[in-house]
Amino acid sequence: MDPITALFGIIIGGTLVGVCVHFIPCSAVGAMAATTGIATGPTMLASGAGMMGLMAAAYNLDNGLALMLASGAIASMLMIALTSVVANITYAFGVGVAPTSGQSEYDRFTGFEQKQCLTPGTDGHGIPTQSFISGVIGAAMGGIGGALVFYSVYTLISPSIAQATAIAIAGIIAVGIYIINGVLPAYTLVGKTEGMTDKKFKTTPKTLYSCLIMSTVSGIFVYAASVVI
Amino acid sequence: MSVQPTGETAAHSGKYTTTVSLFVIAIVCSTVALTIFNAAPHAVFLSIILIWPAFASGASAVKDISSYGIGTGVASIGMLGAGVGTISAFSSIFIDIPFSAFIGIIAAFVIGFVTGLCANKIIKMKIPRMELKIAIMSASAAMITTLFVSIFSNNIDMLLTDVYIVLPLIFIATALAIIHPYNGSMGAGENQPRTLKLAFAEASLTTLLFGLISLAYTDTITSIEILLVSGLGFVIFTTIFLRAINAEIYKLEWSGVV
Repeated sequence: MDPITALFGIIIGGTLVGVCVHFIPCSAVGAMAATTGIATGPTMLASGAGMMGLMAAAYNLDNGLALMLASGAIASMLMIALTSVVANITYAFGVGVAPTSGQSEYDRFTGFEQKQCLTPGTDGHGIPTQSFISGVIGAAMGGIGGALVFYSVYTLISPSIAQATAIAIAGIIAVGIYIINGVLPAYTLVGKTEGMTDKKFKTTPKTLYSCLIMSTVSGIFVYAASVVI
Repeated sequence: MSVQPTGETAAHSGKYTTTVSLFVIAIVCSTVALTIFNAAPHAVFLSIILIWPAFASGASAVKDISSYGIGTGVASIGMLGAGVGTISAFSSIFIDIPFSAFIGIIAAFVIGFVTGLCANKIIKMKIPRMELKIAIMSASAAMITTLFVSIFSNNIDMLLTDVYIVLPLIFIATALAIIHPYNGSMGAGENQPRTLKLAFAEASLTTLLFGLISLAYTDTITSIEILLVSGLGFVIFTTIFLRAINAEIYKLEWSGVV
């Protein structure tokens, strides 16, 4: 990968990370079982999935870009899927509520009626099938984006330093880019979303533009620092 | 243990300082800290003292933004600042011209400012002067990261062979020291002077942690200097912070729970 392609890799990867946050269902910790989604902040959830992806991707560094992106995506998908399953077990057997969407009458994938399971006064609870699938799709995007950023940064800095150091520094810079692009969509979502079936999904273009600008600025600096200056 | 109730109109424990003033102090102190460390590495205790205002400046910027209610918790904005600071500080390692550390700090300010512009103009968060506050937070994080990367690695070769293992720790410790003063103080009675006292206590605690790590990378005298000055700072600032709490709270009762 030549340096200019790596720069575009950072921009595309960073933007993918930003958009992925809109897909991952989360509710604020204070709203646990009062709204649909995993009860934590979108940034933390997306960052957790992204870091899983980065670690898995780093293991496949010598096996080519395609395998790296695939392993990053699979690790992130696994992380979100397992978190959703464990959260649903907690909701069902700990809190005593069924996974239900507060915004859809019927689940888009299973067709199950949602309203009959909805506790009055809440906006849903747990992770219903539509939110689960949305979360897994989002995690795949985040994993691919994170791995792409990591590989691109690694390509830019690796000519001048040892491989182990390049991996560590590329990893920490990729985490930085991941966090910036994870926080901006969290502000658009104001802390909670059901995933791609949520009404707030329409605000994705705002995230897209802001993450595109941010990734471009960050990418240009990393490129300039490691290649130009 | 109990103290005399001071009532609802308890005076704040200090004077409000604007974040911009704190940032100016932090820039001057950090520049001196980096210069001192580069010129005389054995005067590292001065550099440690002079980096504490950068923690306070970052914590004050977190407070300014978070007090508007950003909807995703205080941690996210602090992590954003630390993320920008980290990208800039670690990328500036590869710049092969004099004063590359300062280029990293300036870049952190610029990238932070653009992030704030995106948040305010595109996402329309409408938080007054958010651009400047995120820029200050990012530049403060970059100053701290830059100094500790310099301390752990006297030369670039050492950084590129041994020190890389602790880079994630520098990132997360800096982020927590910036986030937590406001997160730990927030509530109905929160005020900036007390939050800043906690910021200084956490700054010295963080430098104490870095002092322990430096035992593995620097000479013993440097590490002992960092540990002593940080330990002393932690005792002093924690005492000041606890006094401020005692002065401002209505009543403190010992519950018997340790």
